[in-house]
Amino acid sequence: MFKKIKYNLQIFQKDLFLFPIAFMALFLLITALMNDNTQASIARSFLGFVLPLIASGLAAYAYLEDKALELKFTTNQKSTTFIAKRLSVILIVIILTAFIFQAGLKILNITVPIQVSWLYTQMSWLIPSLFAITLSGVISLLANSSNLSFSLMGGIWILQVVLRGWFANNSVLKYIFYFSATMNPGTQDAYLNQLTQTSLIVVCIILTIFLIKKQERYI
Amino acid sequence: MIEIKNLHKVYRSKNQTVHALKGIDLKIENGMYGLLGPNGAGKTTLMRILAGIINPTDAEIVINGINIRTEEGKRKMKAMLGYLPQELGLYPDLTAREFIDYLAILKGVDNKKNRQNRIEHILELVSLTDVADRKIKGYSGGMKRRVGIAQALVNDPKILIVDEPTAGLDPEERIKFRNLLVNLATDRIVLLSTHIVGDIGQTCQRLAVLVTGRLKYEGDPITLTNQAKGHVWSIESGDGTKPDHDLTVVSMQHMPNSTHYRVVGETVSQYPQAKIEEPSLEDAYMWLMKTQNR
Repeated sequence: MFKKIKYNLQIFQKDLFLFPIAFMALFLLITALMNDNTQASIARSFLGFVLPLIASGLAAYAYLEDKALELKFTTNQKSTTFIAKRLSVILIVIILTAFIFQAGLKILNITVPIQVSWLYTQMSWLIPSLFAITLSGVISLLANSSNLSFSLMGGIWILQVVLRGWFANNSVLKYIFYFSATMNPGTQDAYLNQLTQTSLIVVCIILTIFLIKKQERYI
Repeated sequence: MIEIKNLHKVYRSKNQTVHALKGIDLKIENGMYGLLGPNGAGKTTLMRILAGIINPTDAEIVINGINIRTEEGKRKMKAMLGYLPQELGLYPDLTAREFIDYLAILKGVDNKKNRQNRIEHILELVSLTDVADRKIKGYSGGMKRRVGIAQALVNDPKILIVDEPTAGLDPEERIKFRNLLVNLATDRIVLLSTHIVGDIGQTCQRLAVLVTGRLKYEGDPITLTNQAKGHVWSIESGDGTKPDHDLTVVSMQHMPNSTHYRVVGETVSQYPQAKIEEPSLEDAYMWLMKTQNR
Protein backbone atom coordinates (compact mmCIF):
# COMPACT_ATOMS: atom_id res chain seq x y z
CA MET A 1 0.00 0.00 0.00
CA PHE A 2 2.79 2.41 1.01
CA LYS A 3 4.65 1.60 -2.21
CA LYS A 4 1.58 2.23 -4.36
CA ILE A 5 1.14 5.69 -2.79
CA LYS A 6 4.86 6.40 -3.13
CA TYR A 7 4.87 5.51 -6.83
CA ASN A 8 1.72 7.50 -7.50
CA LEU A 9 3.41 10.57 -6.05
CA GLN A 10 6.73 9.94 -7.79
CA ILE A 11 5.30 9.59 -11.28
CA PHE A 12 3.98 13.14 -11.24
CA GLN A 13 6.26 15.92 -12.40
CA LYS A 14 7.87 17.94 -9.62
CA ASP A 15 6.02 21.04 -10.90
CA LEU A 16 2.86 19.53 -9.45
CA PHE A 17 4.21 20.27 -6.02
CA LEU A 18 6.34 23.35 -6.74
CA PHE A 19 3.59 25.30 -8.52
CA PRO A 20 1.15 25.45 -5.54
CA ILE A 21 3.95 25.88 -3.00
CA ALA A 22 5.32 28.87 -4.91
CA PHE A 23 1.88 30.51 -5.10
CA MET A 24 1.21 29.79 -1.45
CA ALA A 25 4.52 31.30 -0.34
CA LEU A 26 3.88 34.38 -2.49
CA PHE A 27 0.41 34.94 -1.05
CA LEU A 28 1.62 34.35 2.51
CA LEU A 29 4.26 37.01 1.96
CA ILE A 30 1.80 39.46 0.39
CA THR A 31 -0.71 38.86 3.19
CA ALA A 32 1.98 39.44 5.84
CA LEU A 33 3.04 42.70 4.18
CA MET A 34 -0.50 44.11 3.96
CA ASN A 35 -2.18 46.15 6.66
CA ASP A 36 -4.82 44.61 8.90
CA ASN A 37 -7.74 45.78 6.73
CA THR A 38 -6.67 44.00 3.59
CA GLN A 39 -5.04 40.90 5.07
CA ALA A 40 -8.33 38.96 5.32
CA SER A 41 -9.26 39.86 1.76
CA ILE A 42 -5.88 38.70 0.37
CA ALA A 43 -5.98 35.49 2.37
CA ARG A 44 -9.51 34.70 1.17
CA SER A 45 -8.51 35.50 -2.40
CA PHE A 46 -5.83 32.84 -2.26
CA LEU A 47 -8.21 30.20 -0.97
CA GLY A 48 -11.34 31.08 -2.93
CA PHE A 49 -9.85 32.53 -6.13
CA VAL A 50 -6.30 31.28 -6.65
CA LEU A 51 -6.63 27.67 -5.48
CA PRO A 52 -9.23 26.77 -8.14
CA LEU A 53 -6.89 28.20 -10.78
CA ILE A 54 -3.95 26.13 -9.52
CA ALA A 55 -6.20 23.07 -9.31
CA SER A 56 -7.41 23.42 -12.90
CA GLY A 57 -3.85 23.98 -14.11
CA LEU A 58 -2.64 20.78 -12.48
CA ALA A 59 -5.65 18.75 -13.59
CA ALA A 60 -5.22 19.78 -17.23
CA TYR A 61 -2.07 17.63 -17.30
CA ALA A 62 -3.38 14.80 -15.13
CA TYR A 63 -4.23 12.20 -17.75
CA LEU A 64 -2.68 12.80 -21.14
CA GLU A 65 0.76 13.69 -19.81
CA ASP A 66 1.17 10.35 -18.07
CA LYS A 67 4.36 9.15 -19.73
CA ALA A 68 3.44 5.48 -19.52
CA LEU A 69 -0.16 5.94 -20.67
CA GLU A 70 0.11 3.41 -23.51
CA LEU A 71 1.62 0.81 -21.18
CA LYS A 72 -1.10 1.41 -18.63
CA PHE A 73 -3.75 0.79 -21.27
CA THR A 74 -2.33 -2.72 -21.70
CA THR A 75 -2.89 -3.58 -18.04
CA ASN A 76 -6.12 -4.59 -16.38
CA GLN A 77 -6.22 -1.43 -14.29
CA LYS A 78 -9.81 -0.14 -14.25
CA SER A 79 -10.42 3.28 -15.73
CA THR A 80 -12.07 4.40 -12.49
CA THR A 81 -8.94 3.40 -10.56
CA PHE A 82 -6.74 5.27 -13.02
CA ILE A 83 -8.88 8.41 -12.70
CA ALA A 84 -9.05 8.13 -8.92
CA LYS A 85 -5.27 7.78 -8.62
CA ARG A 86 -4.53 10.76 -10.84
CA LEU A 87 -7.17 13.04 -9.32
CA SER A 88 -6.58 12.09 -5.72
CA VAL A 89 -2.93 13.18 -5.88
CA ILE A 90 -3.96 16.60 -7.22
CA LEU A 91 -6.74 16.91 -4.68
CA ILE A 92 -4.38 16.00 -1.84
CA VAL A 93 -1.88 18.62 -3.04
CA ILE A 94 -4.63 21.27 -3.13
CA ILE A 95 -5.97 20.32 0.31
CA LEU A 96 -2.47 20.33 1.82
CA THR A 97 -1.74 23.69 0.21
CA ALA A 98 -4.92 25.17 1.66
CA PHE A 99 -4.28 23.86 5.16
CA ILE A 100 -0.60 24.78 5.18
CA PHE A 101 -1.59 28.27 4.02
CA GLN A 102 -4.08 28.58 6.88
CA ALA A 103 -1.51 27.24 9.33
CA GLY A 104 0.99 29.76 7.94
CA LEU A 105 -1.47 32.57 8.64
CA LYS A 106 -1.73 31.40 12.23
CA ILE A 107 2.04 31.18 12.63
CA LEU A 108 2.37 34.72 11.25
CA ASN A 109 -0.33 35.77 13.71
CA ILE A 110 -2.67 36.92 10.96
CA THR A 111 -6.32 36.59 11.92
CA VAL A 112 -8.79 36.02 9.14
CA PRO A 113 -12.37 36.18 10.46
CA ILE A 114 -14.27 32.96 9.79
CA GLN A 115 -17.00 33.29 7.15
CA VAL A 116 -20.25 31.68 8.40
CA SER A 117 -18.48 28.66 9.93
CA TRP A 118 -15.14 26.85 9.74
CA LEU A 119 -16.69 24.19 7.51
CA TYR A 120 -18.22 26.82 5.21
CA THR A 121 -14.82 28.51 4.84
CA GLN A 122 -13.24 25.20 3.85
CA MET A 123 -16.04 24.40 1.40
CA SER A 124 -15.67 27.82 -0.21
CA TRP A 125 -12.34 26.77 -1.71
CA LEU A 126 -12.73 22.99 -1.81
CA ILE A 127 -15.87 22.83 -3.97
CA PRO A 128 -14.70 25.29 -6.66
CA SER A 129 -11.27 23.61 -6.67
CA LEU A 130 -12.80 20.18 -7.13
CA PHE A 131 -15.09 21.54 -9.85
CA ALA A 132 -12.09 23.10 -11.59
CA ILE A 133 -10.13 19.82 -11.32
CA THR A 134 -12.87 17.65 -12.80
CA LEU A 135 -13.86 20.16 -15.50
CA SER A 136 -10.24 20.64 -16.54
CA GLY A 137 -9.79 16.87 -16.80
CA VAL A 138 -12.90 16.51 -18.97
CA ILE A 139 -11.80 19.31 -21.30
CA SER A 140 -8.33 17.81 -21.71
CA LEU A 141 -9.84 14.44 -22.67
CA LEU A 142 -12.51 15.94 -24.92
CA ALA A 143 -10.01 18.12 -26.76
CA ASN A 144 -7.27 15.50 -26.44
CA SER A 145 -4.97 18.34 -25.44
CA SER A 146 -3.60 19.25 -22.02
CA ASN A 147 -2.43 22.66 -23.21
CA LEU A 148 -5.82 23.55 -24.63
CA SER A 149 -7.48 22.59 -21.36
CA PHE A 150 -4.94 24.61 -19.39
CA SER A 151 -5.51 27.68 -21.60
CA LEU A 152 -9.28 27.35 -21.65
CA MET A 153 -9.54 26.90 -17.89
CA GLY A 154 -7.21 29.86 -17.40
CA GLY A 155 -9.41 31.91 -19.72
CA ILE A 156 -12.57 30.93 -17.84
CA TRP A 157 -10.91 31.89 -14.56
CA ILE A 158 -9.74 35.29 -15.85
CA LEU A 159 -13.19 35.96 -17.29
CA GLN A 160 -14.81 35.20 -13.93
CA VAL A 161 -12.33 37.40 -12.06
CA VAL A 162 -12.72 40.33 -14.44
CA LEU A 163 -16.52 40.05 -14.72
CA ARG A 164 -17.11 38.82 -11.17
CA GLY A 165 -19.83 41.38 -10.49
CA TRP A 166 -21.72 40.42 -13.62
CA PHE A 167 -21.33 36.68 -12.94
CA ALA A 168 -22.47 37.08 -9.34
CA ASN A 169 -25.67 38.84 -10.46
CA ASN A 170 -26.47 36.82 -13.58
CA SER A 171 -29.58 34.75 -12.91
CA VAL A 172 -28.07 31.54 -14.37
CA LEU A 173 -24.29 31.91 -14.26
CA LYS A 174 -24.23 32.81 -10.57
CA TYR A 175 -24.84 29.14 -9.81
CA ILE A 176 -21.69 27.99 -11.57
CA PHE A 177 -19.58 31.03 -10.69
CA TYR A 178 -16.42 29.79 -8.92
CA PHE A 179 -16.24 32.57 -6.35
CA SER A 180 -19.84 32.88 -5.24
CA ALA A 181 -19.29 31.31 -1.82
CA THR A 182 -16.34 33.62 -1.11
CA MET A 183 -17.95 36.80 -2.42
CA ASN A 184 -21.44 36.32 -0.96
CA PRO A 185 -20.88 34.14 2.10
CA GLY A 186 -23.85 32.43 3.70
CA THR A 187 -26.42 33.61 1.15
CA GLN A 188 -28.96 31.31 -0.43
CA ASP A 189 -27.29 31.88 -3.80
CA ALA A 190 -23.96 30.76 -2.35
CA TYR A 191 -25.45 27.51 -1.05
CA LEU A 192 -27.27 26.87 -4.33
CA ASN A 193 -24.03 27.59 -6.13
CA GLN A 194 -22.22 24.99 -4.02
CA LEU A 195 -24.97 22.48 -4.70
CA THR A 196 -24.83 23.13 -8.45
CA GLN A 197 -21.04 22.85 -8.53
CA THR A 198 -21.17 19.60 -6.55
CA SER A 199 -23.68 18.19 -9.05
CA LEU A 200 -21.44 19.27 -11.92
CA ILE A 201 -18.46 17.58 -10.24
CA VAL A 202 -20.41 14.31 -10.36
CA VAL A 203 -21.32 14.90 -14.01
CA CYS A 204 -17.67 15.64 -14.86
CA ILE A 205 -16.47 12.46 -13.12
CA ILE A 206 -19.02 10.37 -15.05
CA LEU A 207 -17.93 12.05 -18.30
CA THR A 208 -14.27 11.40 -17.45
CA ILE A 209 -14.95 7.70 -16.90
CA PHE A 210 -16.73 7.56 -20.25
CA LEU A 211 -14.00 9.48 -22.08
CA ILE A 212 -10.99 7.67 -20.62
CA LYS A 213 -12.31 4.40 -22.04
CA LYS A 214 -11.80 5.76 -25.54
CA GLN A 215 -8.13 4.84 -25.25
CA GLU A 216 -7.17 5.06 -28.90
CA ARG A 217 -7.84 8.79 -28.93
CA TYR A 218 -5.03 9.44 -26.50
CA ILE A 219 -2.10 7.42 -27.85
CA MET B 1 -1.83 -19.34 -30.83
CA ILE B 2 -3.15 -16.06 -32.20
CA GLU B 3 -5.86 -16.38 -34.84
CA ILE B 4 -6.96 -13.27 -36.67
CA LYS B 5 -9.77 -13.37 -39.19
CA ASN B 6 -10.94 -10.56 -41.44
CA LEU B 7 -9.43 -7.77 -39.35
CA HIS B 8 -10.46 -4.29 -40.39
CA LYS B 9 -9.61 -1.03 -38.73
CA VAL B 10 -11.04 2.24 -39.92
CA TYR B 11 -10.08 5.57 -38.36
CA ARG B 12 -12.73 8.20 -38.88
CA SER B 13 -12.32 11.88 -38.27
CA LYS B 14 -14.24 14.95 -39.45
CA ASN B 15 -12.07 15.44 -42.51
CA GLN B 16 -11.07 11.94 -43.53
CA THR B 17 -11.51 8.22 -43.21
CA VAL B 18 -8.42 6.03 -43.09
CA HIS B 19 -8.72 2.30 -43.67
CA ALA B 20 -5.66 1.27 -41.66
CA LEU B 21 -6.17 -2.52 -41.85
CA LYS B 22 -8.07 -4.19 -44.66
CA GLY B 23 -9.16 -7.74 -44.04
CA ILE B 24 -6.10 -9.25 -42.37
CA ASP B 25 -6.07 -13.02 -41.79
CA LEU B 26 -3.19 -14.43 -39.73
CA LYS B 27 -2.28 -17.43 -37.62
CA ILE B 28 0.63 -16.96 -35.26
CA GLU B 29 2.07 -19.87 -33.31
CA ASN B 30 4.67 -20.04 -30.52
CA GLY B 31 8.07 -18.71 -31.53
CA MET B 32 9.34 -15.53 -33.12
CA TYR B 33 7.00 -13.93 -35.63
CA GLY B 34 8.05 -10.88 -37.62
CA LEU B 35 5.98 -8.01 -38.94
CA LEU B 36 7.47 -6.00 -41.76
CA GLY B 37 6.20 -3.11 -43.79
CA PRO B 38 6.81 0.50 -44.69
CA ASN B 39 5.70 3.40 -42.48
CA GLY B 40 1.93 3.63 -42.35
CA ALA B 41 1.45 -0.01 -43.33
CA GLY B 42 -0.63 -0.70 -40.21
CA LYS B 43 1.89 -2.65 -38.12
CA THR B 44 1.52 -0.56 -34.99
CA THR B 45 -2.28 -0.54 -35.37
CA LEU B 46 -2.26 -4.33 -35.58
CA MET B 47 -0.06 -4.61 -32.49
CA ARG B 48 -2.17 -2.16 -30.51
CA ILE B 49 -5.30 -4.13 -31.40
CA LEU B 50 -3.65 -7.35 -30.21
CA ALA B 51 -2.55 -5.56 -27.03
CA GLY B 52 -6.13 -4.50 -26.33
CA ILE B 53 -5.37 -0.79 -26.53
CA ILE B 54 -7.57 -0.09 -29.53
CA ASN B 55 -10.62 -1.85 -30.84
CA PRO B 56 -10.86 -3.25 -34.36
CA THR B 57 -13.70 -2.07 -36.58
CA ASP B 58 -14.39 -5.65 -37.52
CA ALA B 59 -12.57 -8.91 -36.79
CA GLU B 60 -12.53 -12.22 -35.09
CA ILE B 61 -9.47 -12.46 -32.85
CA VAL B 62 -8.79 -15.49 -30.69
CA ILE B 63 -5.66 -15.68 -28.54
CA ASN B 64 -4.91 -19.01 -26.86
CA GLY B 65 -8.58 -19.90 -27.19
CA ILE B 66 -9.81 -16.58 -25.78
CA ASN B 67 -11.98 -14.28 -27.88
CA ILE B 68 -10.53 -10.86 -27.20
CA ARG B 69 -13.50 -9.02 -28.67
CA THR B 70 -15.35 -9.51 -25.38
CA GLU B 71 -14.52 -7.50 -22.23
CA GLU B 72 -13.85 -10.71 -20.29
CA GLY B 73 -11.63 -12.01 -23.08
CA LYS B 74 -9.72 -8.75 -23.23
CA ARG B 75 -9.14 -8.89 -19.47
CA LYS B 76 -7.81 -12.46 -19.68
CA MET B 77 -5.63 -11.59 -22.65
CA LYS B 78 -4.11 -8.58 -20.88
CA ALA B 79 -3.14 -10.82 -17.98
CA MET B 80 -0.95 -12.89 -20.31
CA LEU B 81 0.44 -10.01 -22.33
CA GLY B 82 3.79 -8.26 -22.37
CA TYR B 83 3.99 -5.14 -24.51
CA LEU B 84 6.83 -2.87 -25.50
CA PRO B 85 5.51 0.11 -27.47
CA GLN B 86 7.45 1.93 -30.15
CA GLU B 87 7.52 5.13 -28.12
CA LEU B 88 8.22 3.93 -24.62
CA GLY B 89 7.32 6.40 -21.91
CA LEU B 90 9.28 6.04 -18.69
CA TYR B 91 9.16 8.00 -15.46
CA PRO B 92 12.57 9.66 -15.21
CA ASP B 93 12.50 10.03 -11.43
CA LEU B 94 11.93 6.33 -10.78
CA THR B 95 14.75 3.80 -10.72
CA ALA B 96 14.53 0.83 -13.08
CA ARG B 97 13.65 -1.41 -10.14
CA GLU B 98 10.88 0.94 -9.02
CA PHE B 99 9.49 1.32 -12.54
CA ILE B 100 9.34 -2.42 -13.11
CA ASP B 101 7.84 -2.91 -9.64
CA TYR B 102 5.21 -0.25 -10.38
CA LEU B 103 4.24 -1.89 -13.68
CA ALA B 104 4.18 -5.31 -11.98
CA ILE B 105 1.69 -3.96 -9.43
CA LEU B 106 -0.46 -2.54 -12.24
CA LYS B 107 -0.30 -5.89 -14.01
CA GLY B 108 -1.65 -7.58 -10.92
CA VAL B 109 1.51 -9.29 -9.65
CA ASP B 110 0.32 -8.73 -6.10
CA ASN B 111 2.40 -11.13 -4.03
CA LYS B 112 5.33 -9.03 -2.82
CA LYS B 113 7.83 -11.86 -2.54
CA ASN B 114 6.95 -13.31 -5.95
CA ARG B 115 7.19 -9.87 -7.41
CA GLN B 116 10.61 -9.19 -5.94
CA ASN B 117 11.96 -12.54 -7.11
CA ARG B 118 10.57 -11.99 -10.55
CA ILE B 119 12.06 -8.48 -10.76
CA GLU B 120 15.51 -9.75 -9.73
CA HIS B 121 15.32 -12.47 -12.38
CA ILE B 122 14.22 -10.04 -15.10
CA LEU B 123 16.84 -7.45 -14.18
CA GLU B 124 19.49 -10.14 -14.54
CA LEU B 125 18.01 -11.26 -17.85
CA VAL B 126 18.26 -7.78 -19.33
CA SER B 127 21.63 -7.07 -17.65
CA LEU B 128 20.40 -4.18 -15.55
CA THR B 129 21.06 -5.57 -12.06
CA ASP B 130 24.08 -3.33 -11.42
CA VAL B 131 22.29 -0.13 -12.36
CA ALA B 132 18.78 -1.06 -11.20
CA ASP B 133 18.82 1.48 -8.37
CA ARG B 134 19.85 4.40 -10.53
CA LYS B 135 17.20 6.84 -11.73
CA ILE B 136 16.03 6.21 -15.29
CA LYS B 137 16.82 9.80 -16.33
CA GLY B 138 20.51 8.88 -16.24
CA TYR B 139 20.13 5.88 -18.56
CA SER B 140 21.33 5.56 -22.16
CA GLY B 141 18.86 4.78 -24.96
CA GLY B 142 19.83 1.10 -24.89
CA MET B 143 19.33 0.84 -21.14
CA LYS B 144 15.90 2.44 -21.45
CA ARG B 145 14.90 -0.13 -24.09
CA ARG B 146 16.05 -2.85 -21.69
CA VAL B 147 13.88 -1.35 -18.95
CA GLY B 148 11.08 -1.49 -21.51
CA ILE B 149 11.56 -5.17 -22.23
CA ALA B 150 11.93 -5.86 -18.50
CA GLN B 151 8.53 -4.33 -17.72
CA ALA B 152 7.04 -6.33 -20.59
CA LEU B 153 8.37 -9.56 -19.09
CA VAL B 154 7.58 -8.93 -15.45
CA ASN B 155 4.30 -10.85 -15.49
CA ASP B 156 5.88 -13.77 -17.38
CA PRO B 157 3.66 -13.18 -20.43
CA LYS B 158 2.60 -15.89 -22.82
CA ILE B 159 2.44 -13.31 -25.58
CA LEU B 160 5.13 -10.72 -26.00
CA ILE B 161 4.50 -7.87 -28.45
CA VAL B 162 7.47 -5.66 -29.24
CA ASP B 163 7.25 -2.69 -31.59
CA GLU B 164 10.56 -1.49 -33.04
CA PRO B 165 12.54 -2.71 -30.03
CA THR B 166 15.98 -2.18 -31.51
CA ALA B 167 15.47 1.36 -32.79
CA GLY B 168 18.30 3.55 -31.55
CA LEU B 169 20.43 0.72 -30.20
CA ASP B 170 24.09 0.30 -31.07
CA PRO B 171 25.03 -2.86 -33.04
CA GLU B 172 26.18 -4.82 -29.98
CA GLU B 173 23.07 -4.01 -27.99
CA ARG B 174 20.91 -4.82 -31.01
CA ILE B 175 22.41 -8.28 -31.26
CA LYS B 176 22.02 -8.86 -27.51
CA PHE B 177 18.43 -7.75 -27.69
CA ARG B 178 17.73 -9.99 -30.67
CA ASN B 179 19.21 -12.99 -28.88
CA LEU B 180 17.20 -12.23 -25.77
CA LEU B 181 13.98 -12.21 -27.80
CA VAL B 182 14.88 -15.52 -29.47
CA ASN B 183 15.53 -17.10 -26.07
CA LEU B 184 12.20 -15.83 -24.80
CA ALA B 185 10.39 -17.22 -27.84
CA THR B 186 11.08 -20.83 -26.89
CA ASP B 187 7.88 -21.08 -24.86
CA ARG B 188 5.78 -18.13 -25.95
CA ILE B 189 4.71 -16.03 -28.91
CA VAL B 190 7.03 -13.11 -29.59
CA LEU B 191 5.59 -10.74 -32.14
CA LEU B 192 8.31 -8.45 -33.44
CA SER B 193 7.63 -5.42 -35.60
CA THR B 194 10.60 -3.66 -37.12
CA HIS B 195 11.93 -1.78 -40.10
CA ILE B 196 15.20 -3.65 -39.85
CA VAL B 197 14.73 -6.54 -42.25
CA GLY B 198 17.94 -8.17 -41.03
CA ASP B 199 16.53 -8.50 -37.51
CA ILE B 200 13.58 -10.50 -38.85
CA GLY B 201 15.81 -12.64 -41.06
CA GLN B 202 18.07 -13.51 -38.15
CA THR B 203 15.34 -14.35 -35.68
CA CYS B 204 11.89 -15.19 -37.07
CA GLN B 205 10.59 -18.54 -38.28
CA ARG B 206 7.68 -16.78 -39.95
CA LEU B 207 6.81 -13.29 -40.98
CA ALA B 208 4.07 -11.16 -42.43
CA VAL B 209 4.52 -8.15 -44.70
CA LEU B 210 1.91 -5.44 -44.52
CA VAL B 211 1.54 -2.74 -47.13
CA THR B 212 -1.11 0.01 -46.81
CA GLY B 213 -3.14 -2.14 -44.48
CA ARG B 214 -3.11 -5.29 -46.61
CA LEU B 215 -1.26 -8.51 -46.04
CA LYS B 216 1.18 -8.88 -48.93
CA TYR B 217 3.08 -11.90 -47.69
CA GLU B 218 2.73 -14.47 -44.95
CA GLY B 219 5.15 -17.35 -44.59
CA ASP B 220 8.73 -18.17 -43.79
CA PRO B 221 11.68 -15.91 -44.64
CA ILE B 222 13.29 -18.48 -46.98
CA THR B 223 10.24 -18.69 -49.25
CA LEU B 224 10.08 -14.91 -49.41
CA THR B 225 13.78 -14.77 -50.22
CA ASN B 226 13.37 -17.39 -52.96
CA GLN B 227 10.70 -15.26 -54.62
CA ALA B 228 13.39 -12.73 -55.47
CA LYS B 229 15.65 -15.29 -57.18
CA GLY B 230 16.64 -14.10 -60.63
CA HIS B 231 15.70 -10.51 -59.82
CA VAL B 232 18.79 -9.35 -57.92
CA TRP B 233 21.90 -8.12 -59.69
CA SER B 234 25.06 -6.22 -59.07
CA ILE B 235 26.04 -3.55 -61.54
CA GLU B 236 29.42 -1.88 -61.75
CA SER B 237 29.18 1.63 -63.15
CA GLY B 238 32.41 3.24 -64.30
CA ASP B 239 31.00 6.77 -64.58
CA GLY B 240 28.82 6.43 -61.49
CA THR B 241 25.55 6.67 -63.45
CA LYS B 242 22.74 5.32 -61.34
CA PRO B 243 20.91 2.38 -62.92
CA ASP B 244 17.35 3.16 -63.95
CA HIS B 245 15.06 1.30 -66.37
CA ASP B 246 12.69 0.27 -63.62
CA LEU B 247 15.42 -1.01 -61.32
CA THR B 248 15.43 -0.36 -57.58
CA VAL B 249 18.79 0.28 -56.00
CA VAL B 250 19.05 -1.71 -52.76
CA SER B 251 22.57 -0.56 -51.95
CA MET B 252 25.43 1.34 -53.48
CA GLN B 253 29.09 1.58 -52.74
CA HIS B 254 31.56 4.08 -54.15
CA MET B 255 34.83 2.38 -55.13
CA PRO B 256 38.02 4.24 -56.23
CA ASN B 257 37.24 3.94 -59.97
CA SER B 258 33.60 2.92 -60.09
CA THR B 259 30.36 2.65 -58.21
CA HIS B 260 28.93 -0.71 -57.23
CA TYR B 261 25.16 -1.03 -57.25
CA ARG B 262 22.98 -3.85 -55.98
CA VAL B 263 19.61 -3.69 -57.69
CA VAL B 264 16.33 -5.55 -57.90
CA GLY B 265 14.10 -5.54 -60.94
CA GLU B 266 12.38 -7.52 -63.65
CA THR B 267 15.23 -7.39 -66.15
CA VAL B 268 18.67 -5.85 -66.63
CA SER B 269 18.86 -6.21 -70.41
CA GLN B 270 20.11 -2.61 -70.64
CA TYR B 271 23.13 -3.55 -68.50
CA PRO B 272 25.09 -6.41 -70.12
CA GLN B 273 27.75 -6.16 -67.40
CA ALA B 274 25.17 -6.96 -64.64
CA LYS B 275 25.92 -10.05 -62.56
CA ILE B 276 23.14 -12.07 -61.00
CA GLU B 277 23.27 -12.31 -57.19
CA GLU B 278 21.81 -14.55 -54.53
CA PRO B 279 18.96 -12.61 -52.91
CA SER B 280 18.94 -11.68 -49.26
CA LEU B 281 15.75 -11.13 -47.25
CA GLU B 282 16.23 -7.41 -47.70
CA ASP B 283 16.39 -7.84 -51.50
CA ALA B 284 13.28 -10.00 -51.35
CA TYR B 285 11.46 -7.37 -49.32
CA MET B 286 12.37 -4.72 -51.89
CA TRP B 287 11.27 -7.06 -54.68
CA LEU B 288 7.94 -7.61 -52.94
CA MET B 289 7.47 -3.86 -52.52
CA LYS B 290 8.30 -3.36 -56.17
CA THR B 291 5.93 -6.01 -57.48
CA GLN B 292 3.07 -4.90 -55.27
CA ASN B 293 3.38 -1.34 -56.60
CA ARG B 294 2.50 -2.48 -60.09
